[in-house]
Amino acid sequence: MISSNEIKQKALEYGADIVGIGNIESYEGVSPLHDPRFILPDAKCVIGAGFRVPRGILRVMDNGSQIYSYTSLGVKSISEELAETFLLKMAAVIENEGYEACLQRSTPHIRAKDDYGTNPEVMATKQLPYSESVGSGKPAPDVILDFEQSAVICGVGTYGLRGNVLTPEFGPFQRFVFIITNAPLECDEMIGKEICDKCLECVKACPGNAISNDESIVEIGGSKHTIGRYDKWQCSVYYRGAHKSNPYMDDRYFIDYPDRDSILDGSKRFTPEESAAIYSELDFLPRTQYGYVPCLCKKACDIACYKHLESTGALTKKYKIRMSDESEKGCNE
Amino acid sequence: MLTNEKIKKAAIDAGADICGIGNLSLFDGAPPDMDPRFIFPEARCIIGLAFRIPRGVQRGLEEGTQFYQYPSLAYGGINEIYGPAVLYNLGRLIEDEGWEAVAYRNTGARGSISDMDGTDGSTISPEEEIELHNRSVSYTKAVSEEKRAPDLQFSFRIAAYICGMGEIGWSKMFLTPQFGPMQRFAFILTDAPLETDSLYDGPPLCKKCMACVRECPGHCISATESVSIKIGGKTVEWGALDEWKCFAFYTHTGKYQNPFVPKEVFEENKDGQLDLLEGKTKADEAQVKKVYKALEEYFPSWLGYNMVKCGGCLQACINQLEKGSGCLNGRFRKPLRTRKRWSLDR
Repeated sequence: MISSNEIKQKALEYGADIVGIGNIESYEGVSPLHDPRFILPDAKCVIGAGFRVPRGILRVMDNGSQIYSYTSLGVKSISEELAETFLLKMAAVIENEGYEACLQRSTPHIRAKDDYGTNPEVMATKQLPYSESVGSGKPAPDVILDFEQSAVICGVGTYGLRGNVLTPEFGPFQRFVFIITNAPLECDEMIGKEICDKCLECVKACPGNAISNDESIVEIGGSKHTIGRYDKWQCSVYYRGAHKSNPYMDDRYFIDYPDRDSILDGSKRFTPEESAAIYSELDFLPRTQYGYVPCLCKKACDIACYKHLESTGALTKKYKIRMSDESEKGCNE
Repeated sequence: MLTNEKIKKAAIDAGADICGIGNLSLFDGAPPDMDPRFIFPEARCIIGLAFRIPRGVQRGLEEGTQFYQYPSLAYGGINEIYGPAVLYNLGRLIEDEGWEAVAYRNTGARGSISDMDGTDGSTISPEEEIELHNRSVSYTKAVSEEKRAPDLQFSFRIAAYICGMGEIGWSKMFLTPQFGPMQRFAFILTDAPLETDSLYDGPPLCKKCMACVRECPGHCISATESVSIKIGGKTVEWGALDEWKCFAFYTHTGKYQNPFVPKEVFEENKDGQLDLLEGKTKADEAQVKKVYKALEEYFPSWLGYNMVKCGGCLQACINQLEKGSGCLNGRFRKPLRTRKRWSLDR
């Protein structure tokens, strides 16, 4: 019978950087629309795998020299290529043992019936408002795992202020996939100590003021986690570059908008409808294959977070040069 | 020197789940526009690779709670990402030995004749989004007299049979002893002089149980009419399939199997757009487009692949093959189907 260690070794061999196994009972109390037990009723655990976003891709975005690589390599290639290959290989390992591997890749453009948010990374998202249960006691499809919650349950990270996941290795810079399985694997404990120290650097860095420190409590498997408020619709406008620090922004944009100044300085609040309506104005760079849009906020929140965590020594993955130092060093130093 | 065994080991090491090598002379009698020898006349054999569809990605459809993962991973993921990577790596190995490797990935709806109905000209394909992948080859002609018009597409099911990997079931799905109907294919044509495999001669994989006929929500597979051809002296037979009707049901099913579309939409059937799903008209490309356009907004596609709502024949087949003398019996610790298949109470 396959063991947790063997699963983890295979996961690393097939390209994951971090892997953890979460107890299915930790989903007790979760909305059925996000509960893996409604996908695989006899599930025993959830395997979570994280793929790092190489720091070099973030560095060139941070220093303002290259924007496109992040979306192309750090988002699209990981989620659509590396992670898919990984999942299919892992399925073979698990299903060769006679257990079921319910693969859970990201669902970039669809939202569960109760999810009124959006995904700033893609051209457009679609909620499934009309979906209905196919039988008594079942939630309306599609059941979509909460990836952040699942990563916490798998013990690979803890919540950041905006509800994202921070890992001890890479801070905010990784992407996840999951496998729901009925294989009886030994599960990992959730990480006890929060990695986010509520420094609020992410709040200050966001050019669209999409993050605030209005705290709320998230409860998972009996443990409580504090997160702030993250407005994904607001984020989606500034992720696409509606701010004055966008290097592609010039006087031609928003010329007919009476609230141009408040858009550019990030003080305007966008409703979901207003956000979607303004996307067509924010056409600075070509989108990548599959509809991922360029990240013109340069991931300011996560880079600020990363620099802070690095400065406090919170990250286990060390580099020769700290990211906050890099932009100050030239080739000859 | 490359051998049959070396190629198979390399294919499995590269990520294929099954590999078979077929004799190209077994394509004798194939329609010229579907004969792979026109792609690479010097080819000596065809290498077939099968990639399993994890059963776990069927689970959401079986439970009726998750539809996204199967098409995005088991169609898009295998066809676009995983399969091509394996083809590339196996092709490198062959070409390192000085032989040529014509990699042929799954590429529906881009051939010189329709893979839906065999007609010339432009048609759509059930797996792929109409807007993105409506075939652009509306005009093509052969570049010289002895050739066929590009792009030449051959039948993957026939090629898989010739590679000895299994047989075609009554549903027209290809069945292998290892995975039943759960795999997708890719091929390499090569001039390497490899020993070829025999046609599959194990116990019949399809029991002709007709579960696929019974469980198809569109009644697209005939229980009595069939298509049969001869390959290498063997008769290969499958049930007559209404491909256009299958397209409509595969992508949007009907009132009782599509939980994303309000029942009122089916009941209103505005402008007769859903006549095909309601059984009021014969299936053809125009009717399929009407259904598609009327319902596509309720569950958008990803990777260019349509979001399947059906799975009727596939899951019926798995269910049967996991029982009795079926080739999948004992393959998993628990069967795919543990209760009666769902249907919406509308």
